[in-house]
Amino acid sequence: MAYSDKVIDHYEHPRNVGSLDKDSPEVGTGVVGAPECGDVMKLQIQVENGVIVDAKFKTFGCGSAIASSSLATEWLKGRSLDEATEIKNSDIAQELALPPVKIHCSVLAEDAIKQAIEDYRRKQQQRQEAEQE
Amino acid sequence: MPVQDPFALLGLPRRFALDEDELHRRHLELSLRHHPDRFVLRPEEERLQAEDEMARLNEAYEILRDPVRRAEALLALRGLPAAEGTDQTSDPEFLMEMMELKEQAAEAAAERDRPRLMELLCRINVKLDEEIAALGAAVDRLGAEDGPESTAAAAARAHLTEIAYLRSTRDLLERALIPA
Repeated sequence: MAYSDKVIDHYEHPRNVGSLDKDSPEVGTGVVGAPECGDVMKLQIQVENGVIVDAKFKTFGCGSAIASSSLATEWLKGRSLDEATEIKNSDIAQELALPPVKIHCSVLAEDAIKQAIEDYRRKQQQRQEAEQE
Repeated sequence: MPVQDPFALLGLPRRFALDEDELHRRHLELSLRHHPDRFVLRPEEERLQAEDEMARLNEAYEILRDPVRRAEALLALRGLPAAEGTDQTSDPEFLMEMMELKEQAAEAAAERDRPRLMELLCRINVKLDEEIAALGAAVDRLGAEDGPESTAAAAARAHLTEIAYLRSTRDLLERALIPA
């Protein structure tokens, strides 16, 4: 199976590798895994005024998983949270021309985005509740 | 060529607990009986059949020798599929722990810190042994009436999942320890 040029580009020059402070209230963290291969992916977003101003990832897995999460962080920056939830695994798979056996890597990235957003919203809600008390 | 039931093929009881000496002995005995060398002067049809049988025996032997593949075979024989797709079952804390373990492994690998790599490898191997023992116990607890949603089946799947993460981390460490 051959990787597409875009996968290879993201694999060799991954964008936005790194970590954000997972304890910060402005940061949402999503960690997902693929049970059959043991791949894990961490994706984090930093949000200001409802807009994602930064996104970072760390992925231990195959080239497609790395490329999917790298692309996801690129797409996330500058989007509102609602716009971010519109990123679908099929868009990622299409952009990277992933073969059918690697579709689950793009699913992983979509799940990581959703979890990161959920984590951020949960933190915000907790903060609001704390302020009301 | 898929192996239907590796336990039946090697004449061993269908359970996780395994007498390894018995496995080796059975495999050797059956290999001698079906070895293609014994069929050189036989008609082609018989020769091909012996080759097929030999390949199935070897595959069954490899499956049973590996505790994880053995457990997966037991689950498959009961019609319980292994986990696939993305991980919806593991709790986020466990995944985070696996992530951190892999981060430590990658860091030690980047710094070529061999003592640290060895230490992490030892830790993972200990955890792997524990998980494999727990997997075996869960699989052997499975009753005939246990479906995919039963507690024992869920426990077996959870252990298999944890083992997959631990093994991939171990591979990461082992690759880093072998000088290029």
